Amino acid sequence: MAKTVTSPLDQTARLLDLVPFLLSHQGISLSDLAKHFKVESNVMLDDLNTLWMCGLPGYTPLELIDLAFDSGFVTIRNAAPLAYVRTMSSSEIVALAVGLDLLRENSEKLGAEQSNRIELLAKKLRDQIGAQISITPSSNTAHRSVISTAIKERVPVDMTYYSTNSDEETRRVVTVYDFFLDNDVEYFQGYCHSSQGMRTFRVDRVVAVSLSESDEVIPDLPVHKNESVRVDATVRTLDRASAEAFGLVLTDLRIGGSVALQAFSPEWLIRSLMAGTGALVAQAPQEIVLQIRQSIDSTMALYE
Amino acid sequence: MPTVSRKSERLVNLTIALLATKRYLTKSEIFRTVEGYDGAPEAMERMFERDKDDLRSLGIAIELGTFDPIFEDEAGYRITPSSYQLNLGELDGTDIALLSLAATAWSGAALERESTSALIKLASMGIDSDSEALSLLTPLVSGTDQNFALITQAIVRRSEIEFEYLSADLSSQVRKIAPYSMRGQSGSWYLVGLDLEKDSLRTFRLDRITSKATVSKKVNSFEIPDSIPDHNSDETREVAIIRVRKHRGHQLRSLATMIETGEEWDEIQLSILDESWLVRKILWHRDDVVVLEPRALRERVIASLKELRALHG
Repeated sequence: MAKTVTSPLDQTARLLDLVPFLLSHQGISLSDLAKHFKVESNVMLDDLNTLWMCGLPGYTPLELIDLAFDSGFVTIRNAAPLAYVRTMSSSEIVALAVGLDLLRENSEKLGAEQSNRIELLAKKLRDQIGAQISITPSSNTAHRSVISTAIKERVPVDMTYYSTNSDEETRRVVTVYDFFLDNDVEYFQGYCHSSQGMRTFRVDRVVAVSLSESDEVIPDLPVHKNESVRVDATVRTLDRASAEAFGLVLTDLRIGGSVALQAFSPEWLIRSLMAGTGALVAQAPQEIVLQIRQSIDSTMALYE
Repeated sequence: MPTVSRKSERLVNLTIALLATKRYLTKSEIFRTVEGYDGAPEAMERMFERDKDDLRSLGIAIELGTFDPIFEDEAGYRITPSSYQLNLGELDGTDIALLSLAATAWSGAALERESTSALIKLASMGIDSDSEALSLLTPLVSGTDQNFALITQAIVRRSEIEFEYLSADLSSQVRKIAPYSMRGQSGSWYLVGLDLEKDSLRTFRLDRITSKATVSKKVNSFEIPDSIPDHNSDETREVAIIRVRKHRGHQLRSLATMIETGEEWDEIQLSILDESWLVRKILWHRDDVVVLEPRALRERVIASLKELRALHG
């Protein structure tokens, strides 16, 4: 997001970085410049006005940095002492090194030469900070790219998806509409031709995905109804795993108190209550309590 | 001119003066010549001390030295271009393109600001980015945790940290850690470090840290061992043998070290990293999973089932 106010230190860092950037981008427009630095135009204008007052001791026109930006395009002269590109901070290096790790997620698309390059670059960066800060690539990026191509080109996807509600891998044809991020988890939404309705999917649960050849047409959509189940439960013990599974607010939890659990799938809800080993005990509705009992009995039967 | 600009103007002028000088500049020379220093001598002293700290916090190394040690000159200051300047060795257009793409991974995430300034620096190097060779996609880091930047900084500086951590029973405990590494896996960030009170290595999930981490000002307080034992390594762990119904139990199957297929059931083996976690996973799968071995795990699952039955009686 573009910044509207900044601290003196932020501004100093920006001014020092502005000089080499302008020297390599003479004549750049003020608005492009602001975009590169992710600040509002008026902040950039203030930066330029400040930089204009800087220079070597003496501060006569001979020593001052010479900037021209009246026309809306920026040129710089007489800025030799600050022409150096400033060394990177450790956080900047961490940002680049972790980003490089992620590029390797594209391994299928990378040639051996590029893979080597990425590895060498990442090593060079990590040597500079002497720290192990890394990310293990997953297949998410590759899947995300297929899905975003599908959105752009308006083609459905063939997808194998792991459903944690039913513990099943299913094949589906989906016309995807959009991505969204909720609580740091990436989701996408679309019309599932296999189950004939709008569905939401998690990117990290996609097992395989490819652009579909099918020419499925989306029918006129009925109004999408979220049928969620609500279960009232009592809190028997304080349990982090159960709180995380149900997204409970920690301050609401008191031993002996009651709490409302919500989920889209009763099956998932029952499974999660069982996994909670009794930290939360379902009280109502009766049919859910009954189903839990049945689940416990049929599981116990396997051990007899 | 607003005060904000006055201060940054002085800091930039100080940087220029110290960077352009061939010899050390004494404090009095700085006060006399650098624009922005005025007022009583003590006020200028204080201002200069703060300015030096500020520039250091931007990663700018100010060198203190004397021009001629024999005559015990007044000490002076300068910034050497070699320490100021970015040095990533030799890079070509493809490297720049790869690094720039890597920087975009942080859009909307914890290090977005740092990646923006890194991008600016890459673009200022005067090397044309050659992105044509790359048919790569923009990767994306997840996580907007405020502690990410704090803790990674602490790892780099070898500074100890302190934070409140949510334990399995939902109580918050203060942990004092020498942070060693940060690793992203399956959508979460994990900090590995030495727990200074328990004197043993521990792994923490970043989103379970419930307070803002406090970073000690002291740097180089510890050394990071060359190889940090992986908490996932399964050298001498006990192995569980579990029967899983056909086409079910994908989460457990993905952990299996061996799968023996049968008619209605498959038999899988997996090493037990965390028994409580495994008990929960097994219960989650209800009557699609049966534990065969070890006996203790089987007994624990049965006991949990009995307890669940009693609670839902």
